[in-house]
Amino acid sequence: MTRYIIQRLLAAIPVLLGVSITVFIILHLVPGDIAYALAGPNATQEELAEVRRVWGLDQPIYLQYFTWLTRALRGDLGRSALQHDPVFTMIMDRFPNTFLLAIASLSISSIVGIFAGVISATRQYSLWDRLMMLLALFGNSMPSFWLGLVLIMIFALWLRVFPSGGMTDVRGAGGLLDLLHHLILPAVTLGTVSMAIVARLVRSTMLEVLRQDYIRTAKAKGLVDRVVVYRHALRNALLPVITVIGLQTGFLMGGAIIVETIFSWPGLGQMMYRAISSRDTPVVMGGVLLLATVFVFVNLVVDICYAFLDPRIKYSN
Amino acid sequence: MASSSAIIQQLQRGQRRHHGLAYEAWRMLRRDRVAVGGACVVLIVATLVILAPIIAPYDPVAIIDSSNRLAPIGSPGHPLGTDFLGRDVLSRILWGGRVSLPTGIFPVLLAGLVGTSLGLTAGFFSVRLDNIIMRVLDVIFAFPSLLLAIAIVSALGPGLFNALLAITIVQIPQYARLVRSSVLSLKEQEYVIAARAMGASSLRTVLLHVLPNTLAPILVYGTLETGRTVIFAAGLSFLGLGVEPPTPEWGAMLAEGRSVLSLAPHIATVPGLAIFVVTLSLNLLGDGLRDALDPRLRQA
Repeated sequence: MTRYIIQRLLAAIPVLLGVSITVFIILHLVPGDIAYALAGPNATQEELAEVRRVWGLDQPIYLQYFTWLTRALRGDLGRSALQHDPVFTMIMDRFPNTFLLAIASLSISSIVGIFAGVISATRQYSLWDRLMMLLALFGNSMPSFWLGLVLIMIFALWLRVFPSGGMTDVRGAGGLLDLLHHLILPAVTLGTVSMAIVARLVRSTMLEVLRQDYIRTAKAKGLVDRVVVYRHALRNALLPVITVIGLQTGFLMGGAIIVETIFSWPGLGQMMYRAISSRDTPVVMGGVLLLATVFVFVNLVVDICYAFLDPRIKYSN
Repeated sequence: MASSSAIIQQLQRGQRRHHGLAYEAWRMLRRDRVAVGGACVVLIVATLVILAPIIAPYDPVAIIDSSNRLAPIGSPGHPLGTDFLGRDVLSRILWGGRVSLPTGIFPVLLAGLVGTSLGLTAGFFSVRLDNIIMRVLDVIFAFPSLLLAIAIVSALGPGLFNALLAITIVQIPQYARLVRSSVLSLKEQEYVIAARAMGASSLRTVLLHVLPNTLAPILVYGTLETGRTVIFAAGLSFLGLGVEPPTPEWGAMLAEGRSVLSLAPHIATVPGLAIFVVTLSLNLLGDGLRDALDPRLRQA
């Protein structure tokens, strides 16, 4: 198992290097003088000269890359072209909020998706099955930016049961409950597509597992249905689902930009939206680099978890 | 021992079944009422947006009556109301579809073409080439796709062409992976080995014997992906990275409606509904195609 983990960790290194090269190339796609993009449209000649010196823009391109990579590894992603704050500090200030939103939506999508998938599979072709799969189909076809606005309209503007946006501090007057109150609508919006995907996948894998011989044996032994479904079938059906849930984190990170913007959630996504609107290139690229790195690590963790859960994988390696 | 006529009959049966696969898939698809419904809705929407210059009641960018802003659905002369500048929402939806639908279709076609070529090359030719192509694509695949597209468009500058380019780039690895995995198993099939043994060139073998057998999964994936791409492209426009105002586009219209959500909810909901209906219909068609083209499901 240790060997497998080391193998996976080593395999992630070239991917991470590739990710950094891609971000660096994209950074250089900016038309015109890149120093302007990094220093901002209103930069003075001194500021431009400083940016050229710091980023090594007068050096050959491969040296520029190594300068940039070395600085990035030290947590120096440059300064915001508009606010002049260090990009890394800006990212780290907002990352916990995005992490909270991502965890909440991942939990909602996994729990509800798995539960809906199990109900559908155990009652195949029933009214429940059809209803669940219809909802999953709707969820899969719904743009999150539209769903978010519809939820705001219904629950914030008409029914007034949830706030239309913002986030409160858990140490504030409202405490955890107030934070959760603000979290529900953005988390549901962000998690709906993943929920639909998980539900459909759990249904199909469960249907496959429920036809296996060992399930028949478990039933023949006289085990009650609930034990057979949850302890025998679901455990095996969940294996491919874990990979998909891991992949969904990438979707959540992209989606967070849209959902945080709609709900004024003070996370990385909202920061990136503002940076995109004001063409603050260092902030956009810093955010992209960090989120892509997190995505690579999440997939790494999923791969390792997968090997823990399915012994066949570690033996095959 | 089987007689020669029995062998010929067997071969003919085999051939008939081979030809019958596409026919049977088509027959199954036609019988799938939900998939046919999805296809019909897509066709109807496509026809409406193609006919937009003829059927749209107003110019989509012209401010018809600045005193008649935010008119609700069902207003006289404006069945879907007017927006915050007094422009007719129905006309903008019809014209907006002329941007939103192609932005869902063209990146899928282009990424499908490039991805399929790369997948065929990686899977069929040398291992070295395979390694180079797939490692480069792995890096693109390592990015969350919306994030990578945002990075590309924000570097190149907002605009429809750059958005289309970014969406195409982020989709290429998925097709290449799909095709490569099919090719790796297909190239060990006896009929491919036989073709090569008979002296067929690599290009001929790939184009005539391997490619046709990879088309079914690409077709299914491409159909499902078109729906997702409509949402993806609208998402970029929603973030201000797609079309520039005042050009009507569903995602951009939705973003415009956000600021007046409490006063005129229809401005944001109508374009969202259009995206939802098109994506849902494409998903239904894609599911139907998958059921029709996947022999395992058909047997079940």
